[in-house]
Amino acid sequence: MASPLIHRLPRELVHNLGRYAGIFLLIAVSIGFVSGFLVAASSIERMIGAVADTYHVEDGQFTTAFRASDEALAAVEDLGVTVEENFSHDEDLRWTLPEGAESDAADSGTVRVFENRTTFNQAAYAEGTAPARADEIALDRVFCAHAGLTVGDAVDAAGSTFTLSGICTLSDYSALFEDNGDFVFNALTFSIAQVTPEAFDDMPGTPTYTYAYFTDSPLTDAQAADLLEDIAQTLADHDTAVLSLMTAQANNAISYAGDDVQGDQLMWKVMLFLLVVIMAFVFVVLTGANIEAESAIIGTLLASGYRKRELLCHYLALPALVGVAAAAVGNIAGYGWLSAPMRDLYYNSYSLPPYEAVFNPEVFVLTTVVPVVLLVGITFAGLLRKLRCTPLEFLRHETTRKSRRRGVALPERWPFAVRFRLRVFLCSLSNYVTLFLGLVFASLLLVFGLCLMPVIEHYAENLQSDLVAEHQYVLKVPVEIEADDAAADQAEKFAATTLETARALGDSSEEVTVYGVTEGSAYWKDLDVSDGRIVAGRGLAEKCAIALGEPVAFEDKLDDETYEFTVDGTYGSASNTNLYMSLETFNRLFGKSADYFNGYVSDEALALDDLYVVSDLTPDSMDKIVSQMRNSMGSMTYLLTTLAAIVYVVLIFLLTKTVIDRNARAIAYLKVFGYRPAEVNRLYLRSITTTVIVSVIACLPLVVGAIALLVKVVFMEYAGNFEIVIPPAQLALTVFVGIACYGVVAVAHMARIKRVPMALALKAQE
Amino acid sequence: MAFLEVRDIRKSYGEGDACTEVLKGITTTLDAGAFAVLLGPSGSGKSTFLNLVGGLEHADAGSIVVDGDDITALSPREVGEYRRRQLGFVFQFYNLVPDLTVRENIEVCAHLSDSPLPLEDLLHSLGLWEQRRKFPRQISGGQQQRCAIGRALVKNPRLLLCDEPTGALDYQTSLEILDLMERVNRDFGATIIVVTHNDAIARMATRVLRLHDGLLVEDVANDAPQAVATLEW
Repeated sequence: MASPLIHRLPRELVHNLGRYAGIFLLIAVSIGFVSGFLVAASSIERMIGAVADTYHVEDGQFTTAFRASDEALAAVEDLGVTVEENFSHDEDLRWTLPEGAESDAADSGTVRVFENRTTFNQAAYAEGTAPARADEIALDRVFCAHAGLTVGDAVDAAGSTFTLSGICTLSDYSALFEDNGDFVFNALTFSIAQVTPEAFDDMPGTPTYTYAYFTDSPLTDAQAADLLEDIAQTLADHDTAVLSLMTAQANNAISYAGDDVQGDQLMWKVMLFLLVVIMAFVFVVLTGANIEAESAIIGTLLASGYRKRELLCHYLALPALVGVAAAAVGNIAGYGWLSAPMRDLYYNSYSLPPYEAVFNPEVFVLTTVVPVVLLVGITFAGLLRKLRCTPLEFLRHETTRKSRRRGVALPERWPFAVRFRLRVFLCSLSNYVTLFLGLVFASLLLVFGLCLMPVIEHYAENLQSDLVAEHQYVLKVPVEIEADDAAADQAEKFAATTLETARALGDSSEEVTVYGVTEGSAYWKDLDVSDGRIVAGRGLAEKCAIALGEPVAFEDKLDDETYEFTVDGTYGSASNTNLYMSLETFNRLFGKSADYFNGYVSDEALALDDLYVVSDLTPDSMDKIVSQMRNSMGSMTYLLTTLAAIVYVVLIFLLTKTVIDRNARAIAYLKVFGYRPAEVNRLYLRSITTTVIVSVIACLPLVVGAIALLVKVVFMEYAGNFEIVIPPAQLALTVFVGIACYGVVAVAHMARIKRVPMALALKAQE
Repeated sequence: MAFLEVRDIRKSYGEGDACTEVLKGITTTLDAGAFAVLLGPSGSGKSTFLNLVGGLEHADAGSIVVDGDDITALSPREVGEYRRRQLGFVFQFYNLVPDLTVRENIEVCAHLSDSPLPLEDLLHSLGLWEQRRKFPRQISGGQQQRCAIGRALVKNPRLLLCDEPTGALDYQTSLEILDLMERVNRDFGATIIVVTHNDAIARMATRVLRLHDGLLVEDVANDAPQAVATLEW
């Protein structure tokens, strides 16, 4: 037979609706957000995993400086791969902005044009169809969304006007990386395109000679690396200059989206568990307060023969039911509504095939089973601790250590109001400690959300400051500037190559651009690379924990060579992840001829043949990177700030409400004695207000420390080094949001205090 | 054989200089069905005696045998089972569950027994039939105490321990409660121990125990208990 105590549950629920609604909201919103995100992320992850087979995505690619000979390609195919031409043209693209577009929105960019693909790296069309006529073009979905382009619009590319016949995603360009070495993809001013073979042949200039290769069976990472090495060697044996060579895994345009989705999931999972732990503590505090309030009843029931197990089940039932219901509702909301905005976080950035939410048992376990088990477990442990008291201790209201010891003596010279408020504070110390912890977490979310953009802005500023010239040309082969070029005098040669070194956290590696620069360079000012000195960018030293004077291993994945350099100093900003040495040292270490170079830095544009230019890094191209980062992170900032504000309000409400409930009788006494409502508010609300304000401010150092760690972990997997920047204005905003949230709650409390009936003071109290 | 045998029980609180011996060797017996009143001034050890018999506290020395079982030798779990099977408690403050109705408050303890008293009969005999659907806050103090007595009685305990059951009630309501207890004793055969500092109540008891400074200074049988209605104070 069920215990008659079960009748209490619905009444307790109704009686304390605010409390349980708050808990419900907190859990449901947290789980809703996280499950929405994880459902979207896992569905996308699954989809990305299936893209390779569905759309026949390449296993790797190599780009040659000039068209590879048939013999060279046949030799590569002899290694057991199939090779397909995947040529492209990078062309200027211009489009007309739609009405109402922001004034600073871009209306020109770069488009990488391919022939319509039918057999490999296939396209998925979101709208329209593949180009069928020479004047038709299909562009990337994300790019079109940002540019405001729709099917039927006209765009100019390579000096011709095309009609947009379709909006698509290319399976080898889920992230629009213009160059694999770019810090971030660029869906704002860069797009891929497909045109008919006739239109492709009509493109001016020579194409980029990229070849996609396909293996017969899946390879392990080691096998893929070996194959890459064999391809490089084979091409070299056939005198084919290779500009780039990479596996699909190393190709950011293919793998970045998947890695990003995977990396973000960890952050959300950590956030969920932190939220659950905070909620469980709230449960413990609230049920603890409930047990204290019902101390005499519990004592009576125990004296009457109730077992502690029975009471434990009774007091656990409602929190567990609310937890389960909230987790269920949160999950339904997550799957039903919240996965769409979460999906958009990625779909606004990545070009992925049409989305389909897929039920994921792991996400269900993580967002429902685990939080409920944690909630129930922690609440159970808290209750068990509370119910350790004897029946007599319950009957005597001696369930807390505080109640068993005498009160703290306060100096009588202190004004009564001060002593009174202090007593209210001391009486509810455990609530305030939990409130403080809750505020730490809520502030953590808020500050993280608010500082994302400043971190990115700061990173961008650093990148700009590290840009030493108006133009930084990277060449396919060493090309001398024409002697009559007026800009030749001020240009400086440099050499660059790409190596990798281990990051300080995790087992991934950071891509490092190694520069060989002129000693006493006019561009890299104050960079001392004389006498064979090797200098690391400050960001590289920080991110990879490089100690000066200690040897550090750098790996060349293409040549399968490992170099050991001893770094003698640091240079540049905290975002600088390059490695510097003199051009002479560079050529010696990498076995180049003494006069080798493959780039120019120049404050003026150089008259270089596009045929030989790999890239031209300018302040303008850096702006594009910054715009893209801002665009990608903006939605995340909004979500985190919203979640933090909800957590703030609910936590403050729940925990401060407990203080008022606990003091309801004393409030009733004060009213009976003749205190005015404003005076009662001052006595009770002021101590709560002071605690909230002090907590919001005092938790900031903890929050800043935690954020620094969080940013380091979160951005570790991203290329580049992000330095934590929390402008004082953002901290002030956090304090303001915290206090504003409390203001909302305080108004509710004033009404609550007003509602405490004076009759309560007249009721018998044991 | 006596239903309750208390042999030289002692109980102290505190340690060292702060040690206070509250019970200094109490020995007494009660037969089944006795209505005993335990008198004494504040601090004489009345409530401690009741708590020891009820298994809420553990005696420092001595034995308490209830219906053949020495409860001082039982484990905490066994003491819990003893309370569940044998005891009913009534306190000065009723300690009713505020969000359960009168009927449900009584059902709370009916749930603990394999053979509880018929609930409806009990509600009638407690005079709470009309109030059975009301919540504690909707009824008077006397009715709340009746409900508390009903809660203690419903599992048909062998021993009913009452700590100042009329301490918070007015004279007329106190008489009603005492009358109810007398009927419980008579009709259900429960052995009752009532702790009070009101000497007048002793006149309705079949046995009167008086404590003073931790010692049992009076232990007499009352062969002619007075009817409750005639009690005055």
